[in-house]
Amino acid sequence: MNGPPDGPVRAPSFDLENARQQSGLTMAELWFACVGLGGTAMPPELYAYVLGRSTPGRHDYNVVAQALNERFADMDLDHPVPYFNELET
Amino acid sequence: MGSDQNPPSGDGDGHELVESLAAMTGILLNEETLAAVLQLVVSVSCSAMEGVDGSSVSLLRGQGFETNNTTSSEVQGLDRVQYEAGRGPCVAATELGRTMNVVLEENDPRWPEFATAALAQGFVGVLSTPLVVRERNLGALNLYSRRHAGFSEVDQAAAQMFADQASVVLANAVAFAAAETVNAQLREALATRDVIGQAKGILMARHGCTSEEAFDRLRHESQRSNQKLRDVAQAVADAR
Repeated sequence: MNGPPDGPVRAPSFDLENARQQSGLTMAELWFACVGLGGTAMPPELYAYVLGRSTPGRHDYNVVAQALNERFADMDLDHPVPYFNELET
Repeated sequence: MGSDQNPPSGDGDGHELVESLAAMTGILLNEETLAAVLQLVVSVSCSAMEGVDGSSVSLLRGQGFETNNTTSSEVQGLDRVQYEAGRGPCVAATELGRTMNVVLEENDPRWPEFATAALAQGFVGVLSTPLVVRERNLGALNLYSRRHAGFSEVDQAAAQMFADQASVVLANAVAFAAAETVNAQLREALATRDVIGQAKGILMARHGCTSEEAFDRLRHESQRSNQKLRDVAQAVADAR
């Protein structure tokens, strides 16, 4: 997995699982979307992030957020999932 | 009853069909092949079983049922009466996962529309046997009779054999469809990944940045322009 370029990160507080459910994507569909975006998480790792059982690095989190936001864009929702830097502010 | 292993009554075609279908266990079937096999099931169940005058397979598709395999248009029409009313032996067999051996009677309160329509065409009995795939009820094999008001236990056992084998074939087709879906999703993901990889490489060379920083550039542009990241990446690759 790609970790953050500048040291450890704290766990994102955003509820990715709730967002996934709202998006209508299955876990498998979300994983395919992340692979398409260049994500390197294997399915168990991705599921652990999404379910809040492990902490993704900054880049991995942003890949998941992007995949979800692209789905939400198809539903005419404007990027409801914050990116990592938005979580930190 | 002791008739579970009995072949269907009739000329023996049914037994051969059961053996043929059993040999197809493990073969992944596409939609076209599935239709051909199910058509064989309805044709032989009708011709090999005494007293059966029409046969069809009901399949759940999305929110409703479809009959694409049948021995006659009148049977197809009677299936449709059930689908439109939302009730009838094949609907009940599928929903309950239980064989429905029905003696048709005028004004049957369970499914009056179907009973009236079937009796008008001279049918007096219907046997609907559920098709079950991995504990999911996906449809039913329906046998219609103008001669049998209710089917015997031997007939029910024969119908169950046809339904069991049809379910195996159906399970293979479901597995094939699932594998096709996964393949298509993976192909699309890899194609997208390739374009994004190219764009990141271009941005890394252009700006002297890392792969993750290149991804962030694409992501920012995607959000700013309200385009998918793949489309932004394609534009970067095309503009090179």
